[in-house]
Amino acid sequence: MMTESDIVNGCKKGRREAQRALYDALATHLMAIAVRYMGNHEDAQDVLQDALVKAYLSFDQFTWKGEGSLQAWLHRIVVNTAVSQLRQRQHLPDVVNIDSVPEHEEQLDAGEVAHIDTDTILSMVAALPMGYRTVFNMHCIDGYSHRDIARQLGINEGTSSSQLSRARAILAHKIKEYINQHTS
Amino acid sequence: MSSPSQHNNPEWIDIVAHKAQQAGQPIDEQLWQRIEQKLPATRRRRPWLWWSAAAATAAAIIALAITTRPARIDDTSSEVIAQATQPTTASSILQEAYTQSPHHTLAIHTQSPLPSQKKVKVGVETTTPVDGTHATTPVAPIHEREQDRDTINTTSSQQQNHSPSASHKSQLADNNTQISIHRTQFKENDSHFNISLYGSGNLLAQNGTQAVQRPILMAMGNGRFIEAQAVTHYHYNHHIPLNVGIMVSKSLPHNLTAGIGVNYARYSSEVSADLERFDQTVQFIGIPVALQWRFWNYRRLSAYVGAEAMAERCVAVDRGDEQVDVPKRIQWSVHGMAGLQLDITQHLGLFVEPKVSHYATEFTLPTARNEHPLTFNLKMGVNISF
Repeated sequence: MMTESDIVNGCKKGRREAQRALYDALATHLMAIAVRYMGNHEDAQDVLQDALVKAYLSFDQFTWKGEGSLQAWLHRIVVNTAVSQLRQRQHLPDVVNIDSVPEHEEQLDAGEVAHIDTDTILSMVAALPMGYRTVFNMHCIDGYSHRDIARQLGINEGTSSSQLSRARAILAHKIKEYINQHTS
Repeated sequence: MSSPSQHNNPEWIDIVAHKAQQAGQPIDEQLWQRIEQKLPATRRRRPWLWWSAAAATAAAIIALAITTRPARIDDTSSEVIAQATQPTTASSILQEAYTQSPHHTLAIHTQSPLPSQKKVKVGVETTTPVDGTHATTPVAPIHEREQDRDTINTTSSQQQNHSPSASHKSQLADNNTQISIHRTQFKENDSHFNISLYGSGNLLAQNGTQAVQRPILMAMGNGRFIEAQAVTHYHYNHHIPLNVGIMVSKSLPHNLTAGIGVNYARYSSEVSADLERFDQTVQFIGIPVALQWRFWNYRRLSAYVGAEAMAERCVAVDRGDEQVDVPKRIQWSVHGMAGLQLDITQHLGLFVEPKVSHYATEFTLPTARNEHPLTFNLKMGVNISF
């Protein structure tokens, strides 16, 4: 089995077996990131394809800094590719019924949230309206600041912040409903 | 990018983030194949290339070994032109003989005085200059000329086979050594046909670009579509092309040589455009026809100039995952060259040939040879004459 270091060296030389090993090791994880951003499997697969091709072709720009650095680099490429594709769709407005957005964020019990399986959580995040979903993913899951989000999405920081509040309110409401349905 | 927990999120969001970060999603099986198609082809190992090179080298060594065998000297037709009885005078005899016939082939035959009767033959050959400027006698044309050979025989007292006179026999009986120089003659093989095996490549790798227009449908704000042209700019990084071939030629009067052959050419390029990157390989088989004029000879070196015309047919195009029809049009080209040949033996020569080429027929795919009207190549090979 190839180590991460072997994979990096092989990919730098354009060796197909190293590229395939990287794909086998990380593609499902990267696919989950793409699904979170794109909201559906088909678009996510296109993003993953573009991101991996981009990564393989620009491997000489990557410097290995120990275990995990490769995954972090690919994570950034998938996020950037997804955000880039979403920005191309920005002229399409989010169709959000304003009445469906809760005015306040529900108070959730962390213990109860922890019992919800990962796929359900992921599908709830993926079901958020595109703009809210992007900001929520970038800020709450991938750790971007509002400043970075504003710069990457071409919006101002206030918009980023308000979209995050609405995203959290919608997600908390959905989780609350899910907990109520499954505990009653 | 910072850790999500640094944003002071409520605890439930950290749990959601943690679950999302650990998640995995299934992937369609065809995804890897689609990715692979977008990647440049891995350089395949081609063992046949190495085997071909090894076979060619072996053939060259065998040819060299056969053609460099020392020529058999016909003692019966020899003529004594100098002799001596002391071994120490061998060098002076050789020098004397060389002075008499500086452009003739000299050979020393030594027959050992040891009881084992072991015979040792040592041949030293010099080639008579073709232009005859240093010859003491006029030199006939190369096809008709008979080349002289002088032989120095050192014979022991027990070996009297080649002693030309009784006085020598008495000297040999005293266990002295007799040295005699014989002039023997052999006829040089006529060189009517030549076979040349060669390889050549461009002196410089080249780059180029190509803009390709493709029709697309663009959505208008009113819900209608209009047809537009999308332009993709391809950048070509051409590798040094490979040309190999074989040519059979015949010597003609006036130092002319006419030949015909088969040529294989392979042009590979790395093509990139936006996110696309792939390899392009175009292969041609051609029939060259050449005429050369040998204008200068000096010892084993000769120089020539020539012209060549070639008709080629594209036999294969490999261009990433794109389906490309192989162009069927015959490709015409003309070439001019100047060459230098070094004769290793009577039958084997090495040549190097700078060459300028013009490919007259337009070819739809950019390759190293059609980026500029003229390309400069260097051709090298082996010439076998018989």
